[in-house]
Amino acid sequence: MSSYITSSVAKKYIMALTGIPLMLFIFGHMLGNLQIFLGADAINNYAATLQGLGGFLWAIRITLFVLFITHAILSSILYVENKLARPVSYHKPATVVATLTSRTMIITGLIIVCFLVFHIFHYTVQSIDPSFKHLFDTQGRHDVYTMLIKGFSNSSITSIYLLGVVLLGAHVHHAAASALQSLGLMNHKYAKYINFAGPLLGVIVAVGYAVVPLCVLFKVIK
Amino acid sequence: MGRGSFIVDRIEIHDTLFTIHYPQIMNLTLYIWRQRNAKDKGKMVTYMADDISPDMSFLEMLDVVNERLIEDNEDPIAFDHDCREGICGTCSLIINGRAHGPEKGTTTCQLHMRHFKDGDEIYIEPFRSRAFAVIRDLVVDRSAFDRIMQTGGFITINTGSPADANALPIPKEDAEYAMDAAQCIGCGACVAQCKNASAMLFVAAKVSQFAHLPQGQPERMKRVRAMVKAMDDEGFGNCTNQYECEAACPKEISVNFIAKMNREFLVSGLK
Ligand code: HEM
Ligand code: FES
Repeated sequence: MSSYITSSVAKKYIMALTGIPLMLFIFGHMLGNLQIFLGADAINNYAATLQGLGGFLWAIRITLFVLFITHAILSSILYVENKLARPVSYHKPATVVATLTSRTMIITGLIIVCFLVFHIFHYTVQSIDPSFKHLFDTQGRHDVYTMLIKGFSNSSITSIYLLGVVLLGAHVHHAAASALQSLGLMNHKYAKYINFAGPLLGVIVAVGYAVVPLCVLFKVIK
Repeated sequence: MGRGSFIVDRIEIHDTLFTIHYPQIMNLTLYIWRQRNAKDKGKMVTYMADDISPDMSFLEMLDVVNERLIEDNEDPIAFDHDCREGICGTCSLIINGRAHGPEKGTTTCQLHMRHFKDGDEIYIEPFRSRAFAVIRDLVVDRSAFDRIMQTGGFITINTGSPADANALPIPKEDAEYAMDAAQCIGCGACVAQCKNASAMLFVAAKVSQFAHLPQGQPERMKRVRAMVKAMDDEGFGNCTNQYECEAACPKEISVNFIAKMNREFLVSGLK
């Protein structure tokens, strides 16, 4: 069994099996954020519902954390192994079909780590702008709507978010279809659809996340 | 010499039009990896290859360069070749960063100089992988592939005398699928082109070939486990699904076979 888990193929299963739930979370979180377009009541209510989950919310957070850490550590191990597999590189290397996003997975991944730390301190711990802690709406709920408007009205903060979410989209651009290939869920019949839908998902993620800070910054929502 | 290798020029001398035909030739600058033996550090060496015909194959061009080196009392460049018709998988070379050169679905021995231009600079390097040690110049040791094959690339039955052709009916689709995988000539271009020097396409082709035929069934799970283990033990990298291998493969083996092998390996773990 241990030689099974440490095999090159199984390591890729783990990358995919940790990455897929993270992608589902990313998608769900994106849909949650987009509720800002439904108005303050909708998004504050959504946030309050999540907070109301209590212990279950913590179970989700811990699960995501474990998946994230496993994914990041294993990807770094794979990265080193792959570099060692070609000790002497080519004088004139060439790329035939590998996409830019597929060649920068470790870079986008590591920047996502940094971005996530920032994001959690910004909107979850609220220590970057502690005034966020004192925002409440008329019903006494945490006023997430106003917090987002305040947060994204700052153009340097918005720039950090734009960079983070575009790189997240870039990561998913390669990752979505790649995960299915790793798990063997690709075949002659469906490959062309999957290889089209995967990258599209990456674009959807980047755009879906970027519209919120952009709309706030450009005062489309205020 | 073929028609394509003539340049036609017309010149006028004293009101008479003369047509002159002369063979089109190319002058190339080659940067070639030279390394005396496995221990030598090795380096890129520049060679001028003049008067090369576009009708030559890439290996014939190297033959010409070598003949000139021998005339000059220099060591000829060592490179692998055998059939020179794209079936044996012996020729190799990374040409301007591409395994077997720039043409799709072509081995180096089938690559013709007409795909290059006069004055081109061409970088020629050996297949690079920790698992493929350089033996000399452009020749690498690909016996890692043989060792992988020895762990499962066969069927353990006493075949006796040849069976009657239709004794074991196989659906046409399965036969074709197996044939697509069996196209692999084991040249190692997939490893050489892969950003991670992974041998997944090679091993996947071998595993898939048997997995789709009735003869391959009894040892199916054992085979995929043994071959993946042998592949990992040789020190090849891990697949990152970038599909450079498929693009470089002279037999255009599909990366869908890699998904097939991943599936086989997954099922083998559940059994
Ligand atoms: C929430 C964020 C993330 C999501 C949704 C995500 C998702 C994925 C998915 C689905 C894959 C495909 C797995 C496969 O090819 O089988 C993948 C690959 C990869 N991820 Fe992530 N990932 C995230 C964060 C990270 C982080 C933080 C790193 C950090 C170092 C990282 C590094 C990588 C690398 C290097 C690969 C390529 C691995 C390979 O092909 O061998 N990812 N990611
Ligand atoms: S020499 Fe046999 S395939 Fe090129």
